[in-house]
Amino acid sequence: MKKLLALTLVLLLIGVGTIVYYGQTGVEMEESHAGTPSFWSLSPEARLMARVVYSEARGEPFLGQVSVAAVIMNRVESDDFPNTISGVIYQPWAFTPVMHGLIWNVTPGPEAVRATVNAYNGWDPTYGSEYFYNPDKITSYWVTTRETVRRIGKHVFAR
Amino acid sequence: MILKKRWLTVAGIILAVAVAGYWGRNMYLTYQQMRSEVNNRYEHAFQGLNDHVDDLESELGTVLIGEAPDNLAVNLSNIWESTSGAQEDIGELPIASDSLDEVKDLLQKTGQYAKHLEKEVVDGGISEEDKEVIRELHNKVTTINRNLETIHDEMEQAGFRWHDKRRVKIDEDEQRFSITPLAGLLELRDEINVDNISVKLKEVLPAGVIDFEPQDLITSLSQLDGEEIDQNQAVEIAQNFIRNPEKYEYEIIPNDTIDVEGEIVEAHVPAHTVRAVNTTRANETLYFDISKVGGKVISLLNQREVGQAQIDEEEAEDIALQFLEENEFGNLAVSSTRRFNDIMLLSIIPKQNDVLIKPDAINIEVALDNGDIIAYNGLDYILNHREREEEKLEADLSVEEAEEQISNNLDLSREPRLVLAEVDGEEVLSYEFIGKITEEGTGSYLIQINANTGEEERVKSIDQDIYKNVS
Repeated sequence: MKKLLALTLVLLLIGVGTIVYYGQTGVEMEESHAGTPSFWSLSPEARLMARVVYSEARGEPFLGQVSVAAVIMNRVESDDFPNTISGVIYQPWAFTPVMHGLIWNVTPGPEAVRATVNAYNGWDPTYGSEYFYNPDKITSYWVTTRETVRRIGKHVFAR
Repeated sequence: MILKKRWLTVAGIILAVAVAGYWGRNMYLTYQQMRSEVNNRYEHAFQGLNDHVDDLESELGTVLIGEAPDNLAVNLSNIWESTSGAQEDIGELPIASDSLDEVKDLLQKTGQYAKHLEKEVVDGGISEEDKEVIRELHNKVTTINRNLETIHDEMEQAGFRWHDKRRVKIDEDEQRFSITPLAGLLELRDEINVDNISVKLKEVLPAGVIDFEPQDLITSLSQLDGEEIDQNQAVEIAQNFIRNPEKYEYEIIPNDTIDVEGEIVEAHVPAHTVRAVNTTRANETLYFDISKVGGKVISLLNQREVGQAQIDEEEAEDIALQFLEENEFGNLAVSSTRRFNDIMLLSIIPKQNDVLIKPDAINIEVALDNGDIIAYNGLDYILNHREREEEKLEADLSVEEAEEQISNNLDLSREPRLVLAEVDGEEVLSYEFIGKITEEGTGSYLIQINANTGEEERVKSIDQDIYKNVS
């Protein structure tokens, strides 16, 4: 009887584990905006950028989303970073959602798409910032030594 | 019966262990593969950096001893290729972005310099002063090359692996990495003095080829003309700027200091941030950045979804122009427009004596659902706008004379215009021709012909890569 109980428990655990595992990606997918034709009218490189913007700053004020996109553009312009958008985004350890592959589980909503287009066309609420971080979550403290420009939502932007 | 049950349990446990072991082994092998894949990738990038710097050393050497212009031109373009290759390799290494600053700086300047010399070669050759600078660059690159090779030797001898390295910061203070062979890169900092080479480059280069002191937006904006404004004045300026100010509720977002984990840090944003929430329509919020000095609207961003387009592109142009006129910008022309689904992006440029002053461009986004201005960027206008000298705006050549310089392969898509545009850091009066390649009809190109000398100042594609190529 005891063994049967243990077996059921094990099976139950496996079952729950499976559901949680597969359920997770399901939740991510549901969050995406189904009717967002604008995302698919972007070029592949701009889509990549919109994915990073969305993963990094979803739920942030629009200003904050444009700022994240602007940091990517500022890095492309900078001599200290790669010279292309994909070079900047795929730089090892540069963006956490890229590192974890989370950018591929989302479809950016219209706000992230607009933020990308705005930053690409010169809007820069960060005034030349090349870094941003979430002060509640920072793991490497060297970023805090940079000159801070402003805080928008949960992100601090720095030069 | 009991015996049988026991054996069954034992068999079950053995099976479970075997399955777990098999799974674990697979996982371990996969992990090993991934680790060596990452290692190979980083090693490839580092090897690539080695190779490109090695090539760069020989290419700079050939420019020093070669004389024939055609050889020189080829070698100079190779230099540019090697520098950009090396820059890309650095970007693929797991090192912190502020490491190797000197090397990055040197690569960037060498590349730009080579590009500039390529143009000079066409007009006759390289001067002695230029060769002197190349000699200097050659010395520095040789130092980097030797250094990288030594580091590489040490890495192999010490069995250095990249896979467990993250954001390696090459710095004296960072003990963790100063014990690895990478510490050798530290010595480079003292050996390649970039300031030194910058001084030399400044002497031989015409102004504007390399931007030695890139414009610092924050400093420029805090040195504008005008008085410092307070937060209430900023709200007033925001209210005067938009069409229906009464529909919004205004709030200043304090931005002088930031609380980083309990530590108060000074923020350097040169603008007051005003947030305006629409009280009649949900989900519409405006963000204004208004310069603390001078009280100019730097940017406006409207956070709202845009519905189906109801108005056409011409109407949008009129709306944008009218909006700017209401805000006391006079004498403007629409320079270019781009449609992105239900949004129009417009670049609007001030005119002086019918010349379009391109560095002063204002960018505007119009929502095509109801014609709202949903984004405004006046940064370039604020920083650059001033009265240009009259004589700078007088063309020696006529449009017809300039048009003779244009290739037959270009089908003009709009009337040529006289523009003042920035070329290599200098404002040049030129005729601007925009068109498509004859018979192909894809892609728009821009050609600028100097309005005084008839020289071709610039040819470039003006399609944005951000949009999919739709036919």
